[in-house]
Parts: sequence; C-alpha cells; structure tokens
Amino acid sequence: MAKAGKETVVTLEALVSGEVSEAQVDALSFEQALKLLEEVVTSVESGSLPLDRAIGSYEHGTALIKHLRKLLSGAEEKLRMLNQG
Amino acid sequence: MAIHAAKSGDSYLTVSEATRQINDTFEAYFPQLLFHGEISQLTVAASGHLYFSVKDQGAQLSCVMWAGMARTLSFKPAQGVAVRVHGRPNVYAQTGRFQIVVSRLLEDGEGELQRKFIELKDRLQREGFFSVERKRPLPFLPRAVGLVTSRTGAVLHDMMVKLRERFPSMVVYLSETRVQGEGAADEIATAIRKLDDSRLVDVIIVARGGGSLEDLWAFNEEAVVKAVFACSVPVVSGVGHETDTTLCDFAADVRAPTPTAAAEMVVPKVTDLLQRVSELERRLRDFDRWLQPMVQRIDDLALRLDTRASAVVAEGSLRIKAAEAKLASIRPDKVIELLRGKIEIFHGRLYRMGMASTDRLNTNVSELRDRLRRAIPTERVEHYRSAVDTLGGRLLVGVKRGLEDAKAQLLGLGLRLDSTNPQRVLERGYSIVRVGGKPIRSLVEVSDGQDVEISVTDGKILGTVTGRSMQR
Repeated sequence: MAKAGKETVVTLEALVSGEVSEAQVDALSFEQALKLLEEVVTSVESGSLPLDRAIGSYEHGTALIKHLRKLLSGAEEKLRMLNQG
Repeated sequence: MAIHAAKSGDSYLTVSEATRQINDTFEAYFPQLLFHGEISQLTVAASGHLYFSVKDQGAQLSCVMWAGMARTLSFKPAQGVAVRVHGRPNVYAQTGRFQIVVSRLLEDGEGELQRKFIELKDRLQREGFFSVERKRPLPFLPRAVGLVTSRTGAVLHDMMVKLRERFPSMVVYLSETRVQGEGAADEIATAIRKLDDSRLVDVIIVARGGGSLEDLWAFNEEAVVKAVFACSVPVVSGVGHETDTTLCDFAADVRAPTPTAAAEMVVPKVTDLLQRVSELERRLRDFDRWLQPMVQRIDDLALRLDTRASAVVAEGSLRIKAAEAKLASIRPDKVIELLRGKIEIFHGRLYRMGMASTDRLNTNVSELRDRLRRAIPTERVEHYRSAVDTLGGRLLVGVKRGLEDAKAQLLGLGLRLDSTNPQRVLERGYSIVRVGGKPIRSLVEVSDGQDVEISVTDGKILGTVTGRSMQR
C-alpha cells in the first residue's frame, strides 16, 4: 500500500474519510503528524463537521496522538559511528 | 667555562645555575635578535603582559612582552598579524620555557593567513558559495543528527550532553575526522559527503573547539566550503568560539557561535513537544467544547423554525381576512337592488316609448329576477363563505401540525446528538461492538465464530460470537 516516493503527503480529507492506513500514519514525520492533529482538533472544534465525521475525526486524532507520543519517547540517544574508510 | 665542566663530569651545576648560565650565553651571543613572522596564540594576561607565538611555516617562537612595553604598542596585536620582532632569547627559570622577551614589536602589513582568508572569502563570495538565498531552514525534528568532528576532545562530549538534555531519544551519527593539520580539510569534506550519502541524517553539524587562525584553518579551505555547499541536508557550522569566523560559517545554512549552541539549534526540546501534544489531546477530548457549536446551531434552527411558523400563520390569516372582506362586499341583495333599479329605469323608458305593455314587462322583470336569483343565490354565497372558513381552519391546523412535527424532529435531533456522543453512550452502559474495526449494527454483519471487539468507557473487551438471535 505504501506509495512511491519518500514523502507521503496525507491530507486531513483523506484521513477523516478513512483512506489512510495505520501504516501510513506510522510513517508520518512528527511535523506532518502534528500539523494534521492540529487540523483535526480545529475542524472538530469548529463544529462544521457532520456528527459522524466529528466522531471519526476524534478517533483519528487519538491515533495521531499515539503516533506523536511514540516519536517522542524511546531509548536514550545512541551515538553511532559512520564507517570511515 | 661551566659548560665544559658539565661535559667533563667532575662538577655538576644546580638547575638554577645551569639556567642562569644558559641565559648569560644567550645574552652574550644574541644581545638583540630580529626576526619576522605571524602572531598566533595570543593571550593578554590579567597583568597586561602579552604572551604569544610568532611563527612561519616551519617554526614558532614563544614570546612575551611586558605590560609596560605592551601599552606603548601602536597597533592591536591579533592572530595572524605579521610582525617584526626585536627581542632577546631567555629561558624562564621557573618553567624552563624558552622564550623571546620582546622589546619592540612592529606591524608588518597584513598577516599572511589573514590575507589569504580575505582573498579566499572574496573569491568564494563572488562564486556564490555564501549566497543568502541558498540558506535552508533547519528541519523541525530531524530523524537523526550527523556530527562531523573529532572523536576525541570535549567538543563531541559537550554536544552529546546538550542533545541528550533536549531530546533523549535522538539518534546521532558521528562522521569522524581530524579537525586540524595537513590534509584535515579534505578529511572534513569527505566526512560531510559520507554523512550526506548515507541518507541517515536530516541535519549535519560541522564542529570544532576554539583555536588560533591556524588551528581553524582547515575550515577556511575551499574543499570544506564546497562540501558544505553541496550537502543535500542543512548544515550548521559550530566552529570555534563566538569571535572566531571561518569560511565554513559563511557556507553553512546556519552559523552557531559554538558547537554546543549548534547542538541546541538542531533539536527541539522534547518537553515542549510533549506539552504541545498534550494540549491538543486535551482540546480533542473536550467534548463539551466541540459539541457547543452544534448545540448552538440547533438552537438557531429552532429559533428560525418558530419565526417561519409564525410567518406562515400570519400570512394565512391575512388571506382569509381578505377573502372574507371580498365576500362581504358581494351582497346579493344589493346586487339585485341595483339591477332592479336599472330594470325600473329601462321599464320606464320602454313604457314611455309605448313599445310594449307594462304587464309583459313586469313578467319579464320577474323572470329576470328569478334568473338572477338562480345565478347568484344567497345560499351559494353562504356556501362559499363557509368553505373559505373551513379552508382557513385547515390552514391553521396544518401549520400547527407542521410546527409540532418540527419541534418533535428537533427534540429527536437533540437526543440523537446526545446519544451519539460516544463517551456518554458508553457511560450509559451501552457498548460499541466492532468486527475488523468496523462498528456493527445488524446480525447479518457478524457470523458465528467471528472475533468481536467491544468498546466500553474505559477500554475494550475481546470476544467471539457464539450465537445470534433475532429480536422479535
């Protein structure tokens, strides 16, 4: 399902209409995911969404929060050597 | 002489005596030494004494200039400045350090390295390597950070401490290189290219601790400038101290005053980010707040419905009143009266003309009256009037019923809105059953043996369908 190219652009529209797989959410960069989450929260707060889509957005927002937290947590930093030679 | 005595081995001097003899010898042979070179490693002591080296490509001499002498200098000594030196050699007894005690220091034009630096800077500037339009912003949160620096020394350690402090889980790749000496520039350039080619990092820091112009020289060389320029990810230059400027700084996307400051620039503080995520999470979970606009919209719709209903009723009754007024104005008796009058006039005229008998005319008039009665009978008028009344009544009833329906619908909408609030639904003891992540509404959406997921207020229950029964 992964699209070609290194940057997969996920739009708010695609997210709330359920076209985005869990794997695609996991592949989002922190910046992208944060931007999407901000859009989800803003659109939900605006009250302009139909109720079912607002509830769907709530679920997608929760998934994004999970992904963001995962990106921020993790083991202590590792210093890796780049092979010289 | 004492020197010969030491050689023969029959008499040993104390260290102090040896030092004094060395200094006496220097004094005798070099009462005044003249040489020229470039200043490097300049230190101004608190006492005002100047300590520095004067060097050329192959050698360097440690120099000291006493504060009183230093105050008379006509120029400001600095790294790389070419100078002519008058002084005498001396071994500083306390440390055994060989040094030149400078009695006179003259500026000898621009320092060789300084001149080279400016020339190279001007040329690379013209060639566009320092162009401001080319500077790229740093990534918001890099996947990994690349470091180009020496493996030994405090610089790497200090940067790692700073990175760990800000973002503990950040992955750091070190592309090790020498940072000074012959061939260091090519090594630095290669280290940058290797990191870039690895595609492992989103930002690169090129770093080195502070030092003299010569120490930092590798970072002024074309090879480094070109490697920084060609790098596909943004480069932060953290070379030397705040006051040191290298051509690497000019070529980099961002110049950091120190290596530690560079580390600080490339990663955000994880605590700040967590705070932002938590804030968004709080807003997302704030049902009341995001349901508020919907409630407001329903209130608004209800208000508009009320207004519309009153308008319909008002319009209906206005039309009924108009119809009544119109009916009232058509009074059959008055019409008959009017016609009768006209017939009388006609009759009179006919009579006067003697064209027909009065009796005949009277008969005609009676007939005419009957026909007229049949044409506009009072009963029919009454019938119309009551029909209009009924219509008016039905209109009112209809409007009222419409209003009731709308209100009922509104109530339903409110209930549905409330019932679809997932949290509240779950809190009331209902649960959402999902198969393969999709909520199910009907028996036909599941089959026996299928796994189901039941969401309740505080989590999920997993189960298997063991049977189904149709609700009767």
